[in-house]
Amino acid sequence: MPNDEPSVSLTLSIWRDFVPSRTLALRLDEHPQLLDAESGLLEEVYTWRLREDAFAGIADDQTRLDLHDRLVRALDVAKPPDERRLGVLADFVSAAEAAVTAQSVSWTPIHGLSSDDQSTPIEFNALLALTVHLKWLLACFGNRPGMSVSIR
Amino acid sequence: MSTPSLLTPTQAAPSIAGLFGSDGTCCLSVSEERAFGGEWLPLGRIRLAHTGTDRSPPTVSKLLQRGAYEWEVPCRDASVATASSLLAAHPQDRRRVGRALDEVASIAVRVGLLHPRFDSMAIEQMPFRRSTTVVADTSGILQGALDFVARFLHPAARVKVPAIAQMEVANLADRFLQIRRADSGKRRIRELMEHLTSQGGQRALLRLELQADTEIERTYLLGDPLRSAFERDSSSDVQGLNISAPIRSYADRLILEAARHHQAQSGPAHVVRLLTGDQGLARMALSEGVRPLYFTTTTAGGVFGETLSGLTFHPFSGHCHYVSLTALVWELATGFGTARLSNSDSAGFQVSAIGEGLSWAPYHADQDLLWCTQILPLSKPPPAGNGVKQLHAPEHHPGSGGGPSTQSAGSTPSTSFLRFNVQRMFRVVCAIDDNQEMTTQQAEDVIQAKSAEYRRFLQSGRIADVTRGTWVANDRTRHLSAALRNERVDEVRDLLLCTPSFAAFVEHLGELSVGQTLDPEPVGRGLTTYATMGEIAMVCASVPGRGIFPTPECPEPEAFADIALRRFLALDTQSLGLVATGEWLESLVMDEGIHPEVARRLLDQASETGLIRRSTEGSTPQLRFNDRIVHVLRSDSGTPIVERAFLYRGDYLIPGKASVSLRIEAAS
Repeated sequence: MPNDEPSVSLTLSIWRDFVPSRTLALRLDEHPQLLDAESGLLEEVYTWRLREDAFAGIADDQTRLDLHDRLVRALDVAKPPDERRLGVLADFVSAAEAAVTAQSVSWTPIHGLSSDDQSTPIEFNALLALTVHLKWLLACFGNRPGMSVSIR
Repeated sequence: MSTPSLLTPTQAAPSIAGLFGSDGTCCLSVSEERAFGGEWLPLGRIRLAHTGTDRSPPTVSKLLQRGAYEWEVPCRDASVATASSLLAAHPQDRRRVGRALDEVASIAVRVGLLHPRFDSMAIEQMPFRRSTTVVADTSGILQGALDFVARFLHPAARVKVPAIAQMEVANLADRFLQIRRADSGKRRIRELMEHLTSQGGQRALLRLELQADTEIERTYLLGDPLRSAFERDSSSDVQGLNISAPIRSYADRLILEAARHHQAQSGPAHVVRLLTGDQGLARMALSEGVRPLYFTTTTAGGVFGETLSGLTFHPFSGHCHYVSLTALVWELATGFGTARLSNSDSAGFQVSAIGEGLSWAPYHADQDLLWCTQILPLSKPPPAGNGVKQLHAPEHHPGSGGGPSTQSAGSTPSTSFLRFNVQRMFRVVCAIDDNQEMTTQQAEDVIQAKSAEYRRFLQSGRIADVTRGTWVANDRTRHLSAALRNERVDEVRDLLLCTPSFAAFVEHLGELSVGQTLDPEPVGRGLTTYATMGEIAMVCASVPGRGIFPTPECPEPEAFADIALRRFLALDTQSLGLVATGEWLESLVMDEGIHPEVARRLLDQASETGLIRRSTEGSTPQLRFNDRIVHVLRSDSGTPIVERAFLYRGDYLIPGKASVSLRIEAAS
């Protein structure tokens, strides 16, 4: 079980375009806002929290910044859904795979898995594990239209 | 190579950890003994994920069990080419070979290194927020989706395996065994595929039933229809084998009916899902109001050419999830038959689930026991030019090793024949292993005599390091101690061969042909010691009044049956139908070069497989033959014992039988 979470933790969400079967009303103030098929609503269909610092093992600062931007900035929830399609996530996966293949990522101690022997921390390639997970999500959601992804 | 012994993954972990030397890598390969003709298919490299300096086996073992490794899988094209070559496949069969390798992907999914590629609508519903029953079909079992449900969706998900799915897996196993028994080299690809699917499927079901914390429920049997769910397979590939094959859509229908039946019995709020990778079944389920948990088959392309991490993320919580290396090796061994990890020193660890002479019993499945074999590394030849003649020392002798053993300054490997008590020598090795370090006085307390010759013998083979009165354990000490305690005679012989004097003794024996006796002159005062070690190592046997005979032969059970019968008839000159057990054993030693321990084992095998019939008569031990013995290695509560086996006592051949006369007849 997790014993110590890193300060960096990201939440990945996958959204689908949501078309309400009837008009909805959002009560913000005196005048409710009506929401219908044209309102650009999204429904979260999958959420997942990254509890390890996936970028900690990247030795090269430039690569680390580049990958961080490709994931966190490119998929900022503030961006419109059309700019956060799964293709953007696929671009990040390609770049991350290239970094892993180039062996420019080292193993880093894991936070979420306690070892019986504290003197021997368990290490892993967090970026590789993240890549494997995101490839799975892309394989599952990749071909479905109207999907978008965000990182918070 | 040691003799195979049954181990659980946890018990095997330290031995596997010992393979990860300074470079922290091992090669992974698999073999299907018949389809690959005893050759190995490389499946890439395992890299230990550890930047620390502590590479001791306990630490490495702990790390590997917690998934701190990466599996670099070779590219698909190269693997298909290698597999095609091993299978002697025609170029047009390459696609079939590729499909067989898809099963490697299923193995990766079953152990949890990868996840099944679910339909996005299915993922949306995960993790289940309310109790959901998942009815699995055969594809779900074989391709790892059922393991995924048990691993990540339990306990909200209740797993149901319809009887028909169990039957399909049992039927796959039956087909595999029939092809295997037919022993035809023409169906190698099919044999490989049937092996991979059937054994993998059975393991998945057994794991869920016996190991995982998941309750498997059985569904309504649907009585009669099951009987007509299978038909004779008319495929020309297996014609004449009388193999039955499921009527595909009928089996699907029964699986869907099982889900519908459960849905009908459940409350309206209870959700029933059908887990399948079969498009037809998924469509049928959708059209009949059962929502499928559909997944796409993971193919070899998703695994080969990739690097997989033993530590992955939980698909829903994001916490780390690990797959121990032994879990992967065990799964590969079950799928292919044998899996092997080996390092750059040629040391290795082999895990087998099926093979010649390897038995199976329900307790194996219950405790997840597989047959494990330690492969010792090739040791470097002893240093040359030390002024001492290397008496027939072999070029290479298997030893053990990891790090190089250090030798005390000024000492040279001794090739002179020494004299000591073999049992005490074995015990002092175990004591050094237990204590890791002993003073000479402590060693002499174990030996109960002066230690000089023991020290010289152990030092000569670097079985222990002795420096300034301290006896220190090294890797060979550990290996020999383990081999002695577990009666692994092959391994004991390999390690004793590290000593120049024993190697020279064996070399002397090797120069003799069967029936010739050893010239005792060169061995001198050490004759008893080396003859005893030789008997334990099964390289020779003594016959009082005749001499020491080499025993290099170890025939196949079929050939042995002929030899056994021939020797029996030659001795039964008066046609009594009986000969003394010892007489028969000594005849095998002198005339056929077969050690009594080998003869004893082969007689059992030949009798059990119906090649010959054996029986015994008479119950009075012939005490006048009490000097006709062979020294054998036994272990009592972890303490090695050099036991004198009396050849003229019937209980040596057949435990519990004091009979002294043996009858051997050809099986009718």
